[in-house]
Amino acid sequence: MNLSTLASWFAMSIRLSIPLLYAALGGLILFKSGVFNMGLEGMMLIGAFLGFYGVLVTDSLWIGLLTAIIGGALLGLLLAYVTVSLGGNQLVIGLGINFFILGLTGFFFRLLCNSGLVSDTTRIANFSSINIPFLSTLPFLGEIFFKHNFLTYLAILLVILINWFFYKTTYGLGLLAVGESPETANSAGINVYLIRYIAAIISGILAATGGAFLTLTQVTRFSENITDGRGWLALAVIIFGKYTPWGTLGASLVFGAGLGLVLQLQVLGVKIPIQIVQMLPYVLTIAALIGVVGKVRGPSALGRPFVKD
Amino acid sequence: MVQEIILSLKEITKIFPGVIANDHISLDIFKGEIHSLLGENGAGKTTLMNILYGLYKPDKGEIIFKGEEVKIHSPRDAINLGIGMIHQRFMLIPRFTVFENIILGQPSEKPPLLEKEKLHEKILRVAERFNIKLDLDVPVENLSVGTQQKVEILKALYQGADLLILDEPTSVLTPQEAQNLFKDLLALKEQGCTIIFISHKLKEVMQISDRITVLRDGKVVGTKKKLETNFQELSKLMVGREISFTIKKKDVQPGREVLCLEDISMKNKKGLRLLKNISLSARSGEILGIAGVDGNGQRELADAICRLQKIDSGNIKMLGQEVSSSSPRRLYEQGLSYIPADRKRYGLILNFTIAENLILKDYYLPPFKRGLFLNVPYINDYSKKIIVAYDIKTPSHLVQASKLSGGNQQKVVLGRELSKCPKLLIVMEPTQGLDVGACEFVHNKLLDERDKGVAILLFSTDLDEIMSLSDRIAVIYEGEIMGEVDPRKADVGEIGLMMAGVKYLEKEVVDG
Repeated sequence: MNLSTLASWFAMSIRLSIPLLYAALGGLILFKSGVFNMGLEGMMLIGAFLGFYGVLVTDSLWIGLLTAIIGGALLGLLLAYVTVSLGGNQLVIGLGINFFILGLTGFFFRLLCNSGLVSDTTRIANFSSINIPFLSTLPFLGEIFFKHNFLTYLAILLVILINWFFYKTTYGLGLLAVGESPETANSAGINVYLIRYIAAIISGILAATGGAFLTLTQVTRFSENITDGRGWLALAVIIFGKYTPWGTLGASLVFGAGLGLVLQLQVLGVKIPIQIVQMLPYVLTIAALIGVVGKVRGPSALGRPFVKD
Repeated sequence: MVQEIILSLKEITKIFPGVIANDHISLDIFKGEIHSLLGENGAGKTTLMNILYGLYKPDKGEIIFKGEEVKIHSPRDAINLGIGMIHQRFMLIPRFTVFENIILGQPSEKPPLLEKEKLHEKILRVAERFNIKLDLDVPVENLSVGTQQKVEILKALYQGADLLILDEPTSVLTPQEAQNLFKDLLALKEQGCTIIFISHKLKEVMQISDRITVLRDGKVVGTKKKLETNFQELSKLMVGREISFTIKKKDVQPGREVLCLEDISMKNKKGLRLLKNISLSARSGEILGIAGVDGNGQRELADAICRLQKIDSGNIKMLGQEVSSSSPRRLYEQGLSYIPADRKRYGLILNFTIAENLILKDYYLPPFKRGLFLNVPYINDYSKKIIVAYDIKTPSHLVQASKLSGGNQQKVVLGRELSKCPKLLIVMEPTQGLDVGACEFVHNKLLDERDKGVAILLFSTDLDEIMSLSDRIAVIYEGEIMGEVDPRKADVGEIGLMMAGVKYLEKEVVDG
């Protein structure tokens, strides 16, 4: 493996890690408020589809992104309504969202295909790479870090922003408190329901952005189940990252590198059965859950509905 | 002298499905007094205070605070008015630091920023004014319970409370910690704070209060000045009948040794020692009381004896036989009964009926089974008999255990464990959360068993209970037995010191 292969693997790893990062950050915010988000996969998928559809119809990337965000926000709202207002089972609604969206996007995609609006060869516009002046010309590093699209840079900014929000602001402290003990937070005058609703909506928006990243930057088209389990990987990323924003970034990169390696090995024609290689990210997931990263302590109230008297 | 009224509750009524928790309660609190709300569990004290703190909405009635009628919809409203509440279960987040817990939910001057340095200083100023010493940067989970309570008080003061409500504040404290709390409360009073003190312990109430309001069955049955009342009057008001404070104990000569623990040690997964070289022995016909503050290894010791947790070293002998490797079922068959502290989790299966709970440990034995099947007619007769014998108040033996009151749940557990004629009885917190009547019932049952020749190990954090029931008292602190005393000779202060970790022997050396 020479230097340029290495550089392209690294760059590819970053590109592949960004959708995971968006979804995982979205999951993280809701997890930290004490609510499971098992619907990340469905939220990504709606983002991928609506992003694609928005651009297809309007030819505007920005409107595509906005459509994706609205779709994600609505799913977040649904999740919040069921888990927060109705006190319903947090795992079941997440799974429900995943299967519902899988069917829904598949159905509408076929409608588009049948109507002739979309064919196998349809490609849409995409967010092109922005070469950072000067830095992108650096040898090796420039290739890896400074030739990405706007959504990639935004994701890194989000990590910094969320970290700042969690640990330096009063609202962040309130959100963490709700995830640790909603009863205590309530008694301190914090509106538990409101915080969980907002967290769920932001969670949906971020996950949908992660999905839109797939269709609007990488493959520039849609296919059924295009997310292919990335929403599930995002859950592992959160745990691997020990429920912290920076940890989530690190874990996304590790998983992205795993996905990148799969592609890179195929490109290089390494003779390992493809199925074995494709297992790699999931082996990492299992490793994360077994506790390779050490003892992970999640929010204490995670999964516990809060009912006010 | 005419006292200024800071708070006036008028005709407060709160109805929960099936119970009237507060029945037209009217109450005046004077500025700068310590006013106790005295009553049994379920008398409506906590409900009333939760209404005042905005956690419940009253169905009727009004609240007049500092001369104006107020509507308190949430704790936020209460805090803004200057009402602070210290709950029975602390409202603290274990993983947060003292600082984070105190500022939680508080507005900052420059939102959304936390402004750590500035707020830090502000908190320290408040702490200084009320003479409270605390390290603000420690996670609350690393603090002792007494210190956590101080955090709660400082939190309320920082939020500007001048009316403090304390809900059963001493139930989690050692006698010494309780005395320290009382000192702090008197100091707060000096500074002009008004304090509402909720308790069912007469002794404390008589020590700390200026005035005392007694609640019974959701109604106010009287408000008395401390100086004009006494134990007898208050207890009569509280219970509605005369209660004898002394438990009559027969003289029983202890028999042979039933339980013998030799050098028991236990570690948790992290290698922390939960039990340290515990040696104890209990003979038939005696109650060995184990006193200690909650969480000092009582649960582990009881579980070790019942073989629910593994010990790392030492021997457990029951009736002279080594049982360190027997299964819990085998021990039960040999005459061990266990009444756990958390009856809802470890004593009962709440979704099962009373009958099912009563046979939980014998269902696999005849006559409860017949061939492969349960002997339902026999089980029904058997449960009906136990329900009568243990005075369990229920419409039927087929009622779910979850539908019973705490006292009746405890009676189901007692009925199951005692009807097997045990030789050794392990009892933990047998009267926690029970009203005075049920307490009396449980205490009498335990004494009956003792008189019948059962060896009883009584774990309790209620020192009065230990003192009045036990024939011998051992004190446990951080998994270690600090010493053994005779309840007829020992004084509470001595036991309290051991509960705080001072060894009996060391103390004797100092005295000598």
